[in-house]
Amino acid sequence: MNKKWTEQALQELYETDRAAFEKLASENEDARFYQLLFTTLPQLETAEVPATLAESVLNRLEVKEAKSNRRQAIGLALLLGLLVLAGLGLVLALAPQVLVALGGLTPYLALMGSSVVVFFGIEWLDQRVVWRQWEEG
Amino acid sequence: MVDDATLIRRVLAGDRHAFQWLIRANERLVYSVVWKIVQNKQDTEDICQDVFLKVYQKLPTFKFESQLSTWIARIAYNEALGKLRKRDILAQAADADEEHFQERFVELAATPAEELEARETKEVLQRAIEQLPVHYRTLLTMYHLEELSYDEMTEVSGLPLGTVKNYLYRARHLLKELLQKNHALTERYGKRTEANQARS
Repeated sequence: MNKKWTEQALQELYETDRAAFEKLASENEDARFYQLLFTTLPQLETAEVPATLAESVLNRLEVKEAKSNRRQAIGLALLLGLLVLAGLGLVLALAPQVLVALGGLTPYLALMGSSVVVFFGIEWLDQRVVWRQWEEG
Repeated sequence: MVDDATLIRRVLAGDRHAFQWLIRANERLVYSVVWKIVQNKQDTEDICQDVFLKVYQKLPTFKFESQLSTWIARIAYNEALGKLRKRDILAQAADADEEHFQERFVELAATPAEELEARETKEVLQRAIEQLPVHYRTLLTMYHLEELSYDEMTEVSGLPLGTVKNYLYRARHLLKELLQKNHALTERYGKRTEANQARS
């Protein structure tokens, strides 16, 4: 006697007993179409992974980490600057006579200022060159 | 073949080659999951890159409760769905309403028989899968193309086992119905052509 197969039972048979399912497919129309479906599905075209995916991820990771390092470096520089200023403030508050001694440095202030500007200018240019290499590369 | 634990240890130690290896070992699964959800080449590539950056960032929190590939696939699944939700594509795509797919399927099967005959089963299926709701087509791909188990599919999708089985059942049922309709139309067209040839 022919058993009446429900859709669910057919799918379950495919998952649990492939051989019995194959056999059934030769005599049951629904099973035959399920068989066609199940054999065709793995043959469908899959999306092709771009060959450069791993390299793109690694490049982005490098840039991300470099940016994070840069932010850390800027934060550290700012902290150091604040500490120096705080130290100076403390010295001036506790020993005002130091201010008089520092007054002797006044003629050199322009030289010191321009040295600092030149130093940061060179640093900035260097960073720009490095960043361009990262981005192009 | 390097095992998951060794690979993770090396990646966490800053070994870029190990991370590259990890990407290469999982890129097909990730790409396949994301592609099935967003169905757009450029978006898929961008999301895949985001997925692996997230994997790198979250790797220290991996608890070995599942396979590494399953954990990565879950990140990919959530990332892709998140991107769809952000752009409101999920709601617009009528993915939550099965009546819409039924209509689309009927349209697909009711195309002129001449056109249908020329189409291969593969092509019909490919187009039909694209019309399936996002969860249906993704689970279908995971099971039949990536050969994931039910447990893995549950882990990746975050859906209960019953829902996973139900979605997969409905997806297969819809596709089988379409194949049957396609076959019936093709046969009818074949008989009509034979009759026309005999008459002339």
